[in-house]
Amino acid sequence: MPGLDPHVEAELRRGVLQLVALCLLEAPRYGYDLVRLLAQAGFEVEEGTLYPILRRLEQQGTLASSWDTGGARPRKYYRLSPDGRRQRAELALAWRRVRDATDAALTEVSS
Amino acid sequence: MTLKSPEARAYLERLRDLLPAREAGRVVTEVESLIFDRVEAEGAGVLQEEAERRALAHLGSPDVLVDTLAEAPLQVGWSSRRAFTRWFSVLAAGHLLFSILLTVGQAEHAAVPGLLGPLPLAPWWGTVSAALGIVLLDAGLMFVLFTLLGAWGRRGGLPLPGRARGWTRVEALRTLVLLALLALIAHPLRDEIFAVRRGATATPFLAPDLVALLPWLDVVLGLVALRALLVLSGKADAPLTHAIDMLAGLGGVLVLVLAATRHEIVRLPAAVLGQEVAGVLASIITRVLMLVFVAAALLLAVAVIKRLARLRQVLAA
Repeated sequence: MPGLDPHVEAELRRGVLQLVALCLLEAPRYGYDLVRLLAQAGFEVEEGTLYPILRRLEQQGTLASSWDTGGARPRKYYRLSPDGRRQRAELALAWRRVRDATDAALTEVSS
Repeated sequence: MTLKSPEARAYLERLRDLLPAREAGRVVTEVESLIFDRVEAEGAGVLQEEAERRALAHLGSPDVLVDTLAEAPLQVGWSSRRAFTRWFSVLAAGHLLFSILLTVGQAEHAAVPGLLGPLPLAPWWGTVSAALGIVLLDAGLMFVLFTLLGAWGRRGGLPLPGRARGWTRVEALRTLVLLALLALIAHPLRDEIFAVRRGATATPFLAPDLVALLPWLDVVLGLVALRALLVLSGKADAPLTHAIDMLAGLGGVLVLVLAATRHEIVRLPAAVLGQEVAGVLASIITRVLMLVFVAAALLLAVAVIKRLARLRQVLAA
């Protein structure tokens, strides 16, 4: 019997990627740093996927950004804005609703 | 620190070319910074050129990246305005063209009362006012349409032929509605709308050569409808959906090329204008339309390439 298609799990993870990224951006982080932390958290994502998301969130006001020019070269840092915190709370609520509904359905199957 | 590999420099140049001028500088700087971050983190023991090439692999194709940026749901103001401008330009240009056709064909009655009819030829300011009226009317119609469809101030707007991004269900539904309208115009209403009316007679002005292509157009529109139905059934990102999308684009290019290579595209009423004048005017209009079809085919061909890239991306994923 074939196992679970890995794309299915990837799709599931993609659905919550934004929420996880918003959790990691409580502290200021630059793009590659976030890619690395997401990978450590089990969310493999390429810069080509993450960058448009960061840019979109920045334009939406969910993220604030600043350039650090103190190092060898400038580096852009992103962090959650106050509005982003509200959005993250709403996303978290939505996620919990989905998770609870899924758990309830799974419990029913296993009982 | 500067980029050393020609591939990385070409990548950023390509980004700069593809992006609107006011966005290009910022995005290129940010993407360059992403490349350096990856090179710094993973480039130990590797030549910088090689590390840069590896970093590019994590960014994907510049065309796809720009496409994703342009379609990003929060780049809304910009993409909405662009969608509005494109649709308004197409509508106003088509509307003006048909009005001019009816005018040179000396039509006495409007094809669609209040909306599509011949322009008055005198006084001169009457002609100018009528042309201006068409532009304002179309702008108003598009504004109402965008507002009703909820596209103004939000993402993307109406579905555009060149999009490589997948549709949402709402967009798929809008597409089906638009396709139904197109089918009505292309078939039962064709000879009503595309006709010069004088007295009780209406003379269709689309040449038989062009009308003969309609079954091919139907096939293309059918593919677009099939894609919309697949999106509605929750298969927006399935390889089959992307394959159909690409086929529809390819079919569109072929139909446009066929249309551009017809001997005759419009046929004006010779009984009214005289054989010679009707022939000369029809020839001029046919050549203008040929240019339009060729330009549209080229633009659509670019979109097909993007769709092919998207299909490969989906298959690889």
